[in-house]
Amino acid sequence: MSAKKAELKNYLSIYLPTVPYVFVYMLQQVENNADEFLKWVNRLPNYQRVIKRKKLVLTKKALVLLVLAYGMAALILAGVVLLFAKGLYPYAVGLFVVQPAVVILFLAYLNKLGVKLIAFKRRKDYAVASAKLMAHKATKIVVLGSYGKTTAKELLSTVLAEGKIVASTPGNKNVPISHARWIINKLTGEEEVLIFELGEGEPGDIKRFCELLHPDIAVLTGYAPNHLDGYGTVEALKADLSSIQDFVKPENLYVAEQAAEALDFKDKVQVFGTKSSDGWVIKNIEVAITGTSFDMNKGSAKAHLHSSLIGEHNVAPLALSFTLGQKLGLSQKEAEAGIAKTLPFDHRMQAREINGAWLIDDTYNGNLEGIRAGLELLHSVTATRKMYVTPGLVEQGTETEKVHTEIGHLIAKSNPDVVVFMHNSVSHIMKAALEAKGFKGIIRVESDPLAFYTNIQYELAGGDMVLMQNDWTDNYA
Amino acid sequence: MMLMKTIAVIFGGRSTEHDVSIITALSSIIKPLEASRQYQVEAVYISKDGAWFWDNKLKDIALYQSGEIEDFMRKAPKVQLSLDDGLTLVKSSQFAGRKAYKKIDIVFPAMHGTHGEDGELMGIFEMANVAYVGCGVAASAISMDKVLAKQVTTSADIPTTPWVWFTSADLARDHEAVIAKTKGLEYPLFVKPAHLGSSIGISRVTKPEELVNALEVAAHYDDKIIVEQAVQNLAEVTLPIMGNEEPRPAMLEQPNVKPEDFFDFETKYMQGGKKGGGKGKGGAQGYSTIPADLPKDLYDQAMQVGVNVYKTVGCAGIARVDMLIDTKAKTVFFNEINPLPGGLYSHNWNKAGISSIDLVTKLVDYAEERWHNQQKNTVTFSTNYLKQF
Repeated sequence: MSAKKAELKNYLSIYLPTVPYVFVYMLQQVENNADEFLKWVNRLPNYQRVIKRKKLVLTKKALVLLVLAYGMAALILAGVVLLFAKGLYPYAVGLFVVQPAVVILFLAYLNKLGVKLIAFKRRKDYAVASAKLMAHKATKIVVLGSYGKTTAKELLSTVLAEGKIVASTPGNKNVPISHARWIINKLTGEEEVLIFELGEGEPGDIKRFCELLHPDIAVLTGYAPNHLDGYGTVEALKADLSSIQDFVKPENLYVAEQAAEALDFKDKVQVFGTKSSDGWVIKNIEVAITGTSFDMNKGSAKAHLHSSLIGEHNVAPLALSFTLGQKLGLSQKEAEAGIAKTLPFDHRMQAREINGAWLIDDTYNGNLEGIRAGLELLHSVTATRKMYVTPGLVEQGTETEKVHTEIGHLIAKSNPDVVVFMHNSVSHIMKAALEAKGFKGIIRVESDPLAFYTNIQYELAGGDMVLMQNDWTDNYA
Repeated sequence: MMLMKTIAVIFGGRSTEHDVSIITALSSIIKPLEASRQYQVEAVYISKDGAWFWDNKLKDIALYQSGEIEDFMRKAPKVQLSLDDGLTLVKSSQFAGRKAYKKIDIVFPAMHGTHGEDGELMGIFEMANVAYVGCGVAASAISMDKVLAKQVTTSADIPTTPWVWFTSADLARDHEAVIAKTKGLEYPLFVKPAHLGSSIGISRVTKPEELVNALEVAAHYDDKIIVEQAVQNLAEVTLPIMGNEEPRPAMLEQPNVKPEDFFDFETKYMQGGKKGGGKGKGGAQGYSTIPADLPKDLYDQAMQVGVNVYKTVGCAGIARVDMLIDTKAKTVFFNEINPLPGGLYSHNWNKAGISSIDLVTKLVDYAEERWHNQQKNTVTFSTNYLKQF
């Protein structure tokens, strides 16, 4: 097909009868954020092939939006017919041409209004949840940071459960309303420790979370210039993360070494990392495809810890879980047993063997530190052929070029045999950075990520090692 | 841009292994061929009653699992073959009386069992002079006849267990004579239909009273029956091999079953290899040890026997040789040969360092190599015989 023909086909795709359905799907994918929806609509070249990874979940809200979107389109088309019948051809054509734009704006502003109404309605939930939590005797731990939150939450939860009744927020549900509902509906009052993951995304989020949750302890897992689309600037992001100091005492604020340095927290808080945690010294870190081991010493106390989690970047949260667990009343034996029970989480450095080949699924990893750790592991293991797969990172704002150049350099340093990028807005940056470092292996840029992930099993053979980091959903592709 | 070659993958067929063939074609051949991005792949399905269909929809496993295949077959046009200067698929385009044609460069048969794996299908490809993957007519026919395979390998001094054979007509005519023929064999025995694969119709007989029933079961499936003596101190192994003139073995594989739980269809395909309700998937995966856990000398010996069998039978492309080992006597016996192993045994090739994409593309290369070599042979010459007649 010629370029002009393809362009015309792309242009006309917005008039397909399926498009209102696609718009409702898009709104659902961006969690009804009208601005994100409009940005996505704006950058789409073709409205025919949008739904790839997921399906529209027919919630009540989605059904209402579908009816309204198709209703609005039908209303406009009726107007077109009427104008046409009256011989007002230019007006009829004009109305037909603007019909999709009207539907788009209608849905966007309807959502904006809906979000405001819902926020008003949710205030009651927040008040009930906050009161219930104020009266709850449990130690409340909040986990925040640019990356590694879910991992830290799950590790703390697993370790503390060895000696305490623990409840933690499910999956990566980490917005205030999900927390409020969880508090109202799930907490029995018998819990001894509550762990909350905070999903910050825009200025003031940490403050809002803390006002709802009244934390006793906070764990800040890492800093990276993520979510800049919401924060606008690095400074705004740093200020938001730093505001945790207003709600948690310094002796109860545990900050990963890297974040402490980036946020200038170092002497004001409890710093933990891969060298030490709460006075325990960490040594002899060994990372293998089967897991991570390390020793910890404090005075005469010694511990040899092993977890099935893969990667040196897991040492810091594992060590923190071990030390914090003891601080909250666990014996050393219980804390050790808890660490031994920690398992890889779905799509986070999850290794599986396929007919003699190892595939490490780290597709939920969306941060630079995780990428660095993964590539270090890939470099250190022995394999017949090493393959590295990534689409890059999202929501890097003004740091996008810098971050992806660094990823390219990290890949070059790891030196796999094959590198697979997904064709997107950052693949050319990573490719150029990789080539600039004199990379001699094979570079592939895949245009259909889903097909690639589906078929990768057919490319693998005994002795191969594949690391897949991050995956972009439809709204980023 | 280089024009992609067209490969027709033919599967299904009038065979007890019809369903196994669909899985082999869809998951082990079509998917990796398409993932290689080197070929245009056409799916050709032969129904259980022998009708041929060609359509892209046939690549979707859901069509068969949901039963929609019946509806598809009612509506879809049947395929005819043109053997004129190669193989061409022909069907009605269902538009203005026109026909749709597809010239095939290479055929990838994915048929197991009768009318497909036994050389019949290969005869059509030979007639059309089209390149095809796998063993030729003779090797396929020998391989799929357990009696012929034993006769051919025995002639090359490849050891086999003591055995006898007879026809189902012999059995119907004179039970006693057939049973008398087995008198020289020591129990336990294996009774097998001579032409079936995937362990269908096979019985393990531990005492004479069970023999008649086992013979009748085998006769239900086939007109030729073979009875073999079981091997003592048994280690059962199998070896996938590929190549033409220079066979290349994969890894020796050892099924994880006890000798008394012989490797039947249920074990192979329905339970992911675990007797008693294992939940494995992918058929021939997860039920075996790769590489086989054997002393090196015995392992090497079995590898050599496998390759010898492959060469003796005249295999090309791919095959799988099954062997029985008496681990105490350190003797390797040839058992059976499969000219098209289920799923191509890609799990074994993968472990041996060959990906599924590499496997199918190599097999296509072997097919083309053999076809090119065949073109060098002179098949006609001029005579004045007709003028003299």
